[in-house]
Amino acid sequence: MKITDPRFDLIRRCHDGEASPAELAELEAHLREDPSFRNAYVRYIQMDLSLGRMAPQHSKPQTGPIQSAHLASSWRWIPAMAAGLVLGMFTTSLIFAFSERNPATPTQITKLGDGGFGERIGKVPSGFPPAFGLWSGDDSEFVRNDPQGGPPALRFVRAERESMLPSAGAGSCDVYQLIDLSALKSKASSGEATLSLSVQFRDARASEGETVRFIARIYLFSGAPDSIQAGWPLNRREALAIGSNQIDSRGGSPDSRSHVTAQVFLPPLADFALVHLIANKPDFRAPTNAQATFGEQFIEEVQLTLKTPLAPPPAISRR
Amino acid sequence: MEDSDRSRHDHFLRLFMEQEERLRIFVRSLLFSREEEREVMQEIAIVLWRKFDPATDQTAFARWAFGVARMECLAFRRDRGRDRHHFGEEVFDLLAEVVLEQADHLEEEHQALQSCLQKLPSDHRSLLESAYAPGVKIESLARTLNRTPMAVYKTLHRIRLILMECTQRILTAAEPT
Repeated sequence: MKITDPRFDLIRRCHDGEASPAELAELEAHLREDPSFRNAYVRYIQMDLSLGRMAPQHSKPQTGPIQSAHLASSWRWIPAMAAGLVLGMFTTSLIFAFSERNPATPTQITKLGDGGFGERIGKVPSGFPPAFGLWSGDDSEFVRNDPQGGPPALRFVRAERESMLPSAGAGSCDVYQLIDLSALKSKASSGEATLSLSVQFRDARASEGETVRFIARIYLFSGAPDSIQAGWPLNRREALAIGSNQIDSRGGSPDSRSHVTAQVFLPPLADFALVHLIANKPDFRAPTNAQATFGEQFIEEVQLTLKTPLAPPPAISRR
Repeated sequence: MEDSDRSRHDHFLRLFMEQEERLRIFVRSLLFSREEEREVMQEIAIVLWRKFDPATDQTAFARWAFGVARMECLAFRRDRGRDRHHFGEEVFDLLAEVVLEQADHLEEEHQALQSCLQKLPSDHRSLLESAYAPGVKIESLARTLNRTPMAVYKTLHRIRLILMECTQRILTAAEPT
């Protein structure tokens, strides 16, 4: 099937979500009846996935012009990297939202240190956390009460550039906490336990403005935290598993709260978790060295819950 | 972790990694959406791990994994109750067959694609890199570029077709005569 075949435009419309029901039915008819169309359709899907896979996964979403000098190296399929990439994709595959079809029950609740920010006040320490149970990160502060009288909270103040990515502008204010999982090893041995990170964010802007994206992430690693500290964030692909979820806010409802839950399968090899909470301005476009500012965005509560399944996995008969 | 658990885990990882890209292509071909594909792939990985029999060999695992993927796609459609057209099961089987056939050449395709990407004009490469960066929405990218989302979608489509033709040419030339 030549690329000038008008049916490729049908594939595009279906692929991009523009197709009408009649066009989807037409696509199905071609798939059922024409082997060459079927081959072309699968190749098109494969091309799209390959491009997504080969894109530079370490970068933040690009919103401005991209220097072509960066492209030659970033759009390169490097066989030596393939195994790591595949492993990374596999572990990413185990990110999931526990659905109704897989009922789970909490059996143990592990509270994060300072999960409610109760007693602390003042600036959050800068940089990567030096030990378990401590919050640290970009410019942010613990506040006892925000101006509207809310609960103790962590306030995002300003984005900072990643030291490992010095040429990038900064649209994200990141805070972190390391969690020791050694006490959960016995729970993880079944390979079916999950960790659920639940975060209550608040956007206190009285009127609507630019979009702020609240992101909750949890990374699970084996080994010791200092093994990832030096190379963060470029080494986040070394995580055994990653859970992530997000919500966008434009403000205008200062009394409402946004709950974001990220869940992750708990591999038996996991030794510690890194909780990563972010306020991001996705439309932030600025020259190098610019930093997005926040100030009216808060984290009010963070909770980490261990979940184990209700029933043992179904047995499978051996052939 | 017990040695037997580790061995089961390692064996599963090897088999799953061999099939993951094929499964992903299959799931995307049925569901279209990147987000839905990711969600269903997560479910598939979980089901496969939970029900994994360490005695399974490579061929049996591939057959089983595609069966699970098929069931998960059907379950996803049923659970979401989406009011839209869904492929019949005959098409599921036909697409699975094509994916398995074409997957034998995935590595060659990747290498050809790498070569073709380098031949693209720099503005096309820039657009691809922007559009495929993690978390990017075409709508916001279009605003950045002062273009309509439809124009961006169509340009990306044209670039994909150029790349398909280029990779096909390379693969055909490399075929033994």
